[in-house]
Amino acid sequence: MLRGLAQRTARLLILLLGVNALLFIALGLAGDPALMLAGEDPTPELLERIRAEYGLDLPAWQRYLAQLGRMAQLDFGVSIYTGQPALKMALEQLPGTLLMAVLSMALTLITAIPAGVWIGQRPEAASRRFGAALTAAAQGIPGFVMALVLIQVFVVRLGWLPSLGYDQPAAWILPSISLGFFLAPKLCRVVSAGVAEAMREDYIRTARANGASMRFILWREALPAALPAAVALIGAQFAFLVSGVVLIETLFLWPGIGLLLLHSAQQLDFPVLQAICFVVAALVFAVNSLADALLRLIDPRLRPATQ
Amino acid sequence: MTRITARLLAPLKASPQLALGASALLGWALLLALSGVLQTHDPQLGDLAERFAPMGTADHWLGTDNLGRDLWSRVLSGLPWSVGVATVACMLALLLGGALGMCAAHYQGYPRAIINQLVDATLSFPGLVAAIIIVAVAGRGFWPLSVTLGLLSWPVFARVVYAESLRLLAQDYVTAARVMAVSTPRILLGHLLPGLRPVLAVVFTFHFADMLVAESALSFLGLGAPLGVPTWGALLQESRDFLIVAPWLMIVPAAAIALLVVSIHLLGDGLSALDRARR
Amino acid sequence: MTSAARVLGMALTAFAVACGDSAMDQAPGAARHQLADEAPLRMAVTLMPASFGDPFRTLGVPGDWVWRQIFDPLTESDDEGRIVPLLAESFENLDPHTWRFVLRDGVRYANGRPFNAFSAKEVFDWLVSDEGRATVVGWEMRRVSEVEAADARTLIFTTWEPDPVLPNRLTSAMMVEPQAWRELGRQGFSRAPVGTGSYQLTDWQNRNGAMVLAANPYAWRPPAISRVEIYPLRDHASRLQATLSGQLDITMSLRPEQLDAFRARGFTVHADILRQILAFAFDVSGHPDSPVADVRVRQALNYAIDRKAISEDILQGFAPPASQGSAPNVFGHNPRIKPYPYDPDKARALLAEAGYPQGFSTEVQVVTGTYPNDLEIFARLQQDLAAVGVEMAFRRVLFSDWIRQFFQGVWRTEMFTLAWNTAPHNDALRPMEQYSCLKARPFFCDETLSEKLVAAGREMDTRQREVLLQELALDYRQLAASLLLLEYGHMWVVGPRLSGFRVRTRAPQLYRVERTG
Repeated sequence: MLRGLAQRTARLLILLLGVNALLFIALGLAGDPALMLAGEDPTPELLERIRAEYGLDLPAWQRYLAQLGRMAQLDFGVSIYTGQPALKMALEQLPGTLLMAVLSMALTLITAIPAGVWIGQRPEAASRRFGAALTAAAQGIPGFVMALVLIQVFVVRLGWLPSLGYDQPAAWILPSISLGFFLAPKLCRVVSAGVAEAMREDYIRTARANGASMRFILWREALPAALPAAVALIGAQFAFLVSGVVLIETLFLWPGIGLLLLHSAQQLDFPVLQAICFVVAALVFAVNSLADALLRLIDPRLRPATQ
Repeated sequence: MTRITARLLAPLKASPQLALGASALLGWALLLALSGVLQTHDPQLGDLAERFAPMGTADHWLGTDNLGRDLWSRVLSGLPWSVGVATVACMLALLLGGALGMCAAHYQGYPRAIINQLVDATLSFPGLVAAIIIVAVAGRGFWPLSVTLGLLSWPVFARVVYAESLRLLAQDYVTAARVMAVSTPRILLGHLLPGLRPVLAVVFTFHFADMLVAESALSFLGLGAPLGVPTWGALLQESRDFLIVAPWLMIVPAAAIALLVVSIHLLGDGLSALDRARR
Repeated sequence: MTSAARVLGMALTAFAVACGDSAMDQAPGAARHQLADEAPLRMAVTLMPASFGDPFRTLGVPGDWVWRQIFDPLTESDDEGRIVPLLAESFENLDPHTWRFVLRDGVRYANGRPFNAFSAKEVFDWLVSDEGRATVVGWEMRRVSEVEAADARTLIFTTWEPDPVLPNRLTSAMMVEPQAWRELGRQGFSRAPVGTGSYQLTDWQNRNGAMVLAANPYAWRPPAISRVEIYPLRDHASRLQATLSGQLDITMSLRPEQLDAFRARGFTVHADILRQILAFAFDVSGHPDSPVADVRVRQALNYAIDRKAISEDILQGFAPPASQGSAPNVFGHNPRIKPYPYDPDKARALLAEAGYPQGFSTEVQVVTGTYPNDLEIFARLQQDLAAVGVEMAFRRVLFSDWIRQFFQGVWRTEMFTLAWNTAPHNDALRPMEQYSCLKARPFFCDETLSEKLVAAGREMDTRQREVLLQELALDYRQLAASLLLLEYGHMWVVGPRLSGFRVRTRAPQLYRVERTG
């Protein structure tokens, strides 16, 4: 147990180092933040001053080593634009993103699992086939389109809900539905496929022949069989969720990490980008570890999968 | 000749779903092949006098856009791009993810650890940052766009293939092959790959939809196809400004994406049904 | 499949009905989200200044939109674009090196401290210090050698060399409260700025970028509405929807074709009179062998495009055709120069003369999303140019990429977007210097102009200076230094039941806005 934990921590550290190095190289290719800082019409002298002020005039390897040293103490430096500590900025945005993730995940689970079970129970039935086709089509609708239509209907036309202002729970509804739309169709399909597969298995046929109720079979036998794939999907999609959140946060002005990510990426605010990637990597790692642990609980066959 | 046709058609007879999916896909393939011929207007040229013509207008059955350009012709001219990007991205993700996933399952120890580490790193690297950087360095275009999407999404295949391979490797026929000292490539390609086909088909079909959607999301962020290429994602993105004055500009590309995704879904479903029937 | 498709089609049509048909003739639905009394004024802008409340780090918009609510400078530009005193009462030029500013009496900062020549001197002393000069606004003050407070109301500026546009430069020098500036430091001050403006910052909710302002209790121009919320909404559709649903009172940059519908519902539309000139620049220095190095080709391109049609059909007359590198209300604008007429035949003749009878193909790097309808303008340009045989491709680049090329002076293509921006001086010289050998790594360098440009930069006689600038405008016209498009100023849509809205020095004057019903 303890050894497993140590191994996981080591993996996390390697992961963070890798992501960091990747980002350092990539950002160097992307551009020069001094140019973004300098305003409408700067001169070379002004640029030199700005570069010197932020240590951007040092050779790359020196900057990398200095940065590694500081990061070891969880110091990512300050934002080039706001002067705030970068890690603090990223962490401040985390609650918003987590709230959105939890809400949309909850919505996803309570809609996609029953729908998936319903479709998987008798996948050959015409109504289920239609449902399956509908989920497939839903998957092809981008989240930002969904958000736009939802705002048009519920905010502009009906005036029931606001689209701005994250301090009132009414304003949480539309963003979480829009984001949930991103994962729900996929989860529904995975669950229905898993349930359908399980329903064909001998042990379930036997149970049915022995008169077990359909409900019992579905929820106690078939669904658990479908869960490993579902959990794996959620784990793998979580990072995409963080990217998908960028669009939703932009449209609803939601105070999450995606909004900060977009601004920082456009302005080449390197310290903040590094801090965000650090936080996201740690978060994704945590979710995936959790998913792995759940998987092993559900399906002992996967136990040798971990080192 | 007739026997071959009969053998090809037999699965279609057996699974009406497959037949439906296959014929829908055939329809798409025809549209793709004839997309140049079927365009009734130049997709880039418009007449400002005819802007925002609604669906069902005499000369423009799907309507026109903000510059008076024919929407039908634009959707058709975006088809090769959209389908191409999604296909290349999916193939890249499939090859990369499939190969690495199988290797991770087969080789224990370091290869597995390294591959898993790579999967984790890619999954936790924010795709947006990667996309911005790739656009800044490699510019916009068909290949940068599809390769970006492929490189960001291969872990989806890797994870599924890895999990499924572990299951298959534990099964008797593979163990038997191992005992008989069959070479590794033959185990992977000859024994493992056929077993992976059903799950790959399913993942591929919904990954394809994801890639179509991802392309439009990149358009939304200004990172999509080059200007002037009416990919479906770009059409959707541009339509947002006209939701009120011209909703058809959003409905048409959205319906096109939905229909394509449903066709592929039917095909995938039919294939897996066929697979089950054979087993 | 067919049934699925049919139902899908029905569902989509239902969406269309729900979203489309008559959203515009309904009363704003979400009015109930506003508080009944003392509702804050809610404004959406496209961007917030990246340096928050530090007004010296960048110049112009988006900073102006926010900072001018919190701070005042000594001068501003009036409704005709002329430079007039603001925190000053008057200013005069004593000799080519000396300016005297008499300051307004009785002005206080939001923390209660008085604003006078001594506090102003402290601010300018910082701006001309080494640290201050590293800021963009400090760099603007580089010709200033010394600032003296003769008495509490008199400020004397001495310059190293004659600076005819010093009062124009001062429109960007916000009077921060010097003690808070010193004590909080730049970073701290950027979170808690203190100025003499009508509002003070109460909450910079940097988590979603929105900002909350409250009336400055000591304001010399007290606001009618005591609370303001400013939202950065970069997405056009979001701004549109939030405005339609009544969640916003003031919104910038909506698409012109939707304005009539807003007007019909009682909204008013205000265009900023300070316009920039949208244009494509030619990288002649970096592409000496390209067709655009030939002045006839550059003229031909200018004749080939139908500015009037673009202006009227795409922008609803909102952005007029451009004739030169400055708008009519800018100092140095030459009223005798008219926009290039739309003359494709002349364009073809010029191209043939230059050796391109069949036309040529070219590529432009563009940054999109900086003004509405840009994609449509580009598409229309493509059509017009194709008619004279010029095949123009557009390469969309990110701003970070664009600006890197701008500074390195190395452009990947022979054309790129670059507006002639006379802000913040409202003076025609500034953008001309960009299009000249005076720029550090020039893209368009014609040695014959350099001397005149330098002279115009030092000429203290206003009449003489105007003549020089107008001559230069003519020179630039003859050289066809850029592919001129339109004069564009930001546009603001203001909700019904609001009055008094006005834009000055590129910023809305929120303190004047009142509710009327």
